Amino acid sequence: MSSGSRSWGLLSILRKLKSTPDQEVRILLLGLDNGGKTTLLKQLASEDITHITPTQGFNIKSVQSQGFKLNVWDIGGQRKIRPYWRNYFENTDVLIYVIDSADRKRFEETGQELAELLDEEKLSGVPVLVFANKQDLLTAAPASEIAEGLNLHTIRDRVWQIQSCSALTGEGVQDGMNWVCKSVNAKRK
Amino acid sequence: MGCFFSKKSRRKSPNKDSALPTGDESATGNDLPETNNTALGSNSNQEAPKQYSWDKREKVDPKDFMLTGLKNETVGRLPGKLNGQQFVIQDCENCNIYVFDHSATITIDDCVNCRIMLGPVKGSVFFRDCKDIKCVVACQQFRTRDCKKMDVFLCCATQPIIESSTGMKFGCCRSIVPITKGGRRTESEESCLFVFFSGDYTTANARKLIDEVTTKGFVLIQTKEVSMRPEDVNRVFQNNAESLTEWITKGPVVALELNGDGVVEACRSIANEVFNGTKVFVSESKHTSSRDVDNFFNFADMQMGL
Repeated sequence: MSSGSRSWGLLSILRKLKSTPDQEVRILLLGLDNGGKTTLLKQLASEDITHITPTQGFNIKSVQSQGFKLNVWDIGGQRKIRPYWRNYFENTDVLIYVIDSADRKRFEETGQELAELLDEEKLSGVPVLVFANKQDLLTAAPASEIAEGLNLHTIRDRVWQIQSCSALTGEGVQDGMNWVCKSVNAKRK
Repeated sequence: MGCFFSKKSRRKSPNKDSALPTGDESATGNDLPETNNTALGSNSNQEAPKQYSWDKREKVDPKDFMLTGLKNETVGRLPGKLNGQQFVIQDCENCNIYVFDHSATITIDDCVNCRIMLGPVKGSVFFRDCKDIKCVVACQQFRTRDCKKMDVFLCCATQPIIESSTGMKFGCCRSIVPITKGGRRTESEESCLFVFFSGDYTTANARKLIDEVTTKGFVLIQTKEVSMRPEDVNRVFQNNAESLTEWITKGPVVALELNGDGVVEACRSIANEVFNGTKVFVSESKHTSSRDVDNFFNFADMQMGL
């Protein structure tokens, strides 16, 4: 199996995942509105990212290979529609939480939402990758600062990782998705 | 899991975890421990963190890209000062804010009674907790939350999100902004009115016309994009009105005034050669063209309302 320049694309992620009894891996993409979730999803799918519209509802990307399926769910993050997030929790294999690292005004809000997610029964034990996105922007806080502010080190009940990235340029995304694959495979041993 | 950023829960964990840096014990509560030792994952066998482009790039002063806490001022950024970077506006009152450059993304928080003009934004413009704002914005995404009484002239590539906001008014922001002579005196006595009626390629066609005529040494004096009603057609186009009435119903027209000796003849042949099949109006002769120009732009000036 050759690895092309886009080796972190959805199909490659699928191939790195070990086959599972239910033959399906489900990734949930959450975070505040304007965080970059859809840009990340489109980047993973190698699609155009210059014309992305705010998500009202959700976006889903599915890839299949040899009877094995990967679904990535990108759910809209405006305040008014966050109550609907719980409709998507069931059977999630990994949670990817996207933060706009350059929107310091809303660090408290995003921390609050993440804390509530980690308290959810239906997401208990689910590995979480926090993407500290928009590192291409000037005022972006580094991942370490965000990790401190969110008190990520107090998470005891699951594996977690914070990864700085720019969904726009793609930098850092592969590193995050490699961790996603590792943690999904580890969980299904 | 508490949230350090949260004002509500200040549950800071004790420094027992080996993943945490052992900072100076006497440090005040506001000092963050050294960030290069902060755990980035639950796996204690972390490799040394990779260096990315943002770790290596030259540090800039974030204050150059922020406007904070201004009152009763006229401020902004001139072309070249932002150069595609992020911009942040917050806590301003009774200000005129002009951002005359392109940027990556702009957030505007807690501003009251301001007039704001934002040059093209590649990503999103997000207004939060703002009141009594008049703004002109060109952006990829437009978002508001908890805003009150805003007049927005908007040029947005995608569908805006207007959340928990009241008293919001919207108008169209022109999508063509070419460099024109503006108020300067014309070089020649001869002008020509060239109008593109609404279609799939209106903007592209207008740009193409500008290329064509400027290559031939003519001058672009002004452009306007404006909606017309059937009753306006007679007044503006006079003798040529009948066929045009149907065309104006499809959307706004884009009109250009071009200037130079021989410009009318040149425009008519360009219309035939380059825009054959496109719905256009071109002045018939140099004897009637200045009246065409006056009729149209007087009408358009009355419509703009800004």
